[in-house]
Amino acid sequence: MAGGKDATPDATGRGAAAGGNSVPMARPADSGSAGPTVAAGGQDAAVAPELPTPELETLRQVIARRLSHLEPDGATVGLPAFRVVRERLLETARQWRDAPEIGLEYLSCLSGVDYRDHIDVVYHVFSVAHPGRGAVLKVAAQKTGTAGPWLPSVTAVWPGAEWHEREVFDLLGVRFTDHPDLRRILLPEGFSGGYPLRRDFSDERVQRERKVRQR
Amino acid sequence: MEAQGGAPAVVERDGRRLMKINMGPQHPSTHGVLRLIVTLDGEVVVGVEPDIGFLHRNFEKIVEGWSYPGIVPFSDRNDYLGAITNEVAVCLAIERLAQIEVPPRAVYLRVLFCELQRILSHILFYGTFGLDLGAFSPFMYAFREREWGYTLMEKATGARMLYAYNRIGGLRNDLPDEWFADLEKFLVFMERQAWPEYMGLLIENEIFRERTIGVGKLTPEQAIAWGASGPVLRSTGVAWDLRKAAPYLGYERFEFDVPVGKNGDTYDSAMVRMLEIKESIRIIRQVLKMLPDGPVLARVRPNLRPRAGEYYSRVESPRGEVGVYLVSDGSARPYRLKWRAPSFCHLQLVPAMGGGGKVADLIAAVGSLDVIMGEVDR
Repeated sequence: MAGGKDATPDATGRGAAAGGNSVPMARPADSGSAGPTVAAGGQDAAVAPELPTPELETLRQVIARRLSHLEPDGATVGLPAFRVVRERLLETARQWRDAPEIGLEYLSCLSGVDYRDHIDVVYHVFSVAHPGRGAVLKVAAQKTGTAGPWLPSVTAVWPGAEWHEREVFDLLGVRFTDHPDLRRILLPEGFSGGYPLRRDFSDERVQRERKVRQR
Repeated sequence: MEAQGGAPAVVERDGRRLMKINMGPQHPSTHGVLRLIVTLDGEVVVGVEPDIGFLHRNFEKIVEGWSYPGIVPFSDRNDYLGAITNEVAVCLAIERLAQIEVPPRAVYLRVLFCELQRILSHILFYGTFGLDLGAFSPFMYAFREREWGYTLMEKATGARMLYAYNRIGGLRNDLPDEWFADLEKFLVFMERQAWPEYMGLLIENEIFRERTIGVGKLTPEQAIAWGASGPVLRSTGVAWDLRKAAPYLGYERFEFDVPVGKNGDTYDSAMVRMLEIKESIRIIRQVLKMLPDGPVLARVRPNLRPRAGEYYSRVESPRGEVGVYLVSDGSARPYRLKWRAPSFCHLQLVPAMGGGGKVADLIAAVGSLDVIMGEVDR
């Protein structure tokens, strides 16, 4: 676990971090030009992300080989990242947790990111039994359709997702089906101003008058 | 949500008269504004439902409109008792995406301040946990050292709680030699006098042991499934510490042990924190020996534009795993910054820990989680 004592001080702290793994933002083809895209080009455009440790590289290969329905995601620095379609999210989450050579049983973070035409929900999962392992799973919730963006809940796989999903529901308006208790969590119960973390959110509340002495 | 202030709501269930009452939002033992809706059968807790959001300020939305250097001081406000670790978590994410090399002296000093922060946070935990359980004197002893520690922090950073000491690329200022002499005095006092006193006053106290041993029990499986981290996870016997498991700031250079509990109860959770104070002192001593000379701040252009990409940085704060998920689109403002707060995950465990016990045990359970509402509500 611990590296050599005379290892060079590494500012970013993630082991022997390579300086050259510049990763351009790769978006799936169907997401159009929405969201953060960076002008393609530069010599790094086609280079696959280099992972900081051999263990992570092995994990990336294992996942890519065993679960061929996952699409590699190039934007993430430092962890293997994959994109899954909504229909196979739950199945993939189960495999990630239960397959012994993957074994990612610890959901560290569940975030929603609004890319204007769809909302990405991102799962950062790690392994307590194998501390070197960790991976990122992304799934897109399309905003089209009358039901609004929705995804299946992963609380059956990682129970700790419960409040994280409530938070994404509260602040970004993604509904999670089969969630045990999908209610607002951070905003007040009667809040009707929209979804604050969406890019098109504007605060419609009456602005209070500022009492500033004129100079 | 029957309990809305005023008279407690009475509900009939299976022929029993249950009472729904509010604990909080302004209850002395909730450490901030946490509201617990407690269902009681007499004095037995049948159900607990935490209600959060009273301190919500939408940190994540606000920083989307800010330039990167401004985010670092604002992140202090999330976990206000672990301000340095918050700053480090944000700085590591930004520095990784912007490919900024931090000078070695700054890396070592960051370790020093993270550990000093951990000591101060655990001292406060010790004081308030005793207070929750009705032991007032330990609180006064804890504040004796806390005051000293905060004065040390003030001398180094200029602030007592919200330091804004980390900069993207290093630290704001270096430290004078006298400061290290003061720090050494503090560490010696902590080790030789304060720590044994703490143990004698509270941890080895018979009443304290009766109130905590076997109370608020968690299994390792529960803790992992619900995303617990830090001392709460370690009290169940899982030796999971990001400083060992995914070393950042070069923690692999230092020798220290990860204290773990056995039973996952509130006593083990307190004990793990007490032992961590000792380990932190050990790390600080090693930092002082190994501290290189040199600058503490790299040259960073003020209008910083990290490359487009995403990075998730994880840091072991006094409370557990602080995560910063940073999405950059290559502009001067973050596209998205998600804050993973350990206390947020820990509060999900309150029903499992407090259900079935007495009201007093619920207070012990919540106190042992050491939640900071600033980072829960963000």
